[in-house]
Amino acid sequence: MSAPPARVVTAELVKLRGLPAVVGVVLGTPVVAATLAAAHAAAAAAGASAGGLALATVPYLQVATVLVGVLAAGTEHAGRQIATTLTVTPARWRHLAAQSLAVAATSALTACAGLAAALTAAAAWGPGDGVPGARSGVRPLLGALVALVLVGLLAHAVTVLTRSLVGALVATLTLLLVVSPLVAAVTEHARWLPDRAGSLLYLPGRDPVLGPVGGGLVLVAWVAAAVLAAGCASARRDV
Amino acid sequence: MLSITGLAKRHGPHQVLHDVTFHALPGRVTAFLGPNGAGKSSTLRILLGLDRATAGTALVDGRPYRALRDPLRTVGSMLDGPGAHRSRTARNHLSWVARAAGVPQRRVDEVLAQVGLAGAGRTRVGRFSLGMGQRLGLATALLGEPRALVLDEPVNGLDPEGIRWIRGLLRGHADAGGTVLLSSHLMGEVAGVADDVVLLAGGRVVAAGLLTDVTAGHASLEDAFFALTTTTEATR
Repeated sequence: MSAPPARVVTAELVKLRGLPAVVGVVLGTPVVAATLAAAHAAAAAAGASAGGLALATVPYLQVATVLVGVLAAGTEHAGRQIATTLTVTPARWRHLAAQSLAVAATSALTACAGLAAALTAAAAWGPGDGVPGARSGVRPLLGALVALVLVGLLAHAVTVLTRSLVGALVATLTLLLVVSPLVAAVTEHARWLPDRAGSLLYLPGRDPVLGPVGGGLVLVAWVAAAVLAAGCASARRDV
Repeated sequence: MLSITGLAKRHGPHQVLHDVTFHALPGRVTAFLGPNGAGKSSTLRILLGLDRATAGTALVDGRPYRALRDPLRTVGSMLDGPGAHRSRTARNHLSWVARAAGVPQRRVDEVLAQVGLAGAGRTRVGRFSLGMGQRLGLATALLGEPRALVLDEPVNGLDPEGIRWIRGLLRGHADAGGTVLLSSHLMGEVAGVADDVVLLAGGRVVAAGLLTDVTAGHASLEDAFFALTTTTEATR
């Protein structure tokens, strides 16, 4: 994959900023995350840590980074913007790399804002240690950030592959919110699903087979496979 | 110069283009004419590197579009209207295109003014009329000050004043030494501005050359087109 020039990455960031739906996700995520964390805090047992309460919002924060990834690629195909995009940057892999980097940066911003808001709300309303991250440490929070960014990239690659905003959104959210919990209830092999594996980055010790590094690598493998499939498809097919 | 040579395109069992060959030369307006479904858009999409040809070549100054270093500075193009997502503003759309193409941001205001959208930069594309969408598409094509313009159905949705304006713009571009290739199914609308014409029917070139040569012996370009396509069908 050729490295995209900085100007193509900047263009993709300008493109994302120009979508009101993406701006809405970035600004709305902290509000939703704080509300969820406050609700968890109100229901939590005494001694629950603010970090733990904030991490409980991660499954919901996934929806935000999925939206960022899906909107970035899905809006290319609503109104034929993709023709403009690929006449400006004809190298398919270069464009995919640039858009992926922009999605990663925007997902990271969204996840940071969401986690920070959740942590603040949990510390303010929770029964726990009062000092955010004092007991749980910073590492699980960083792990959650990485997992959320990777989930955003996975959703983006799936959308590039399917070229359908609604189709990719439904497929990704069904996997994360319906299939994953159902499979986990039936078999321990659910650990190999992207979000289950990724959750080991912020909930270490939950799985007897995979550690945080192993879980992270499984999620990275999912993302790499999806990006590879998306890149090969867009390099071969007509626009 | 834009050179299309022996171009063929197949979509499954359907042969869309058969051995399409023609050139668009600098300093001239070349009109690429034919009914809807004749294969005009398919040809232009291959020329712009969006679709792949089954056979043949489409070159810009001797190189495939995908091999151009800064394509937007060489070829400005418009396909399917504005080519922008409906929820963005016109200014945001031009701004990202300028960044990706390495074009200075001041060009955004310049092209908005040039196409008559100076007051509509903050309007979302979804609120544009068909004609305004066409003007935004043209603004995108002009952004990189390219030598060649490739426009698919640029007069669609324009009112008579808009058609007159675009004719002047294209004439000016060609007179300044630029290459202009525009497609249209409205023969009368572009006959007034074209130097050369390429007539396409059923994925085949039925006539190509100077407008005056192609229309010789016929009352209008449209009459020439129907006479030529009838002959082609009869001889096939």
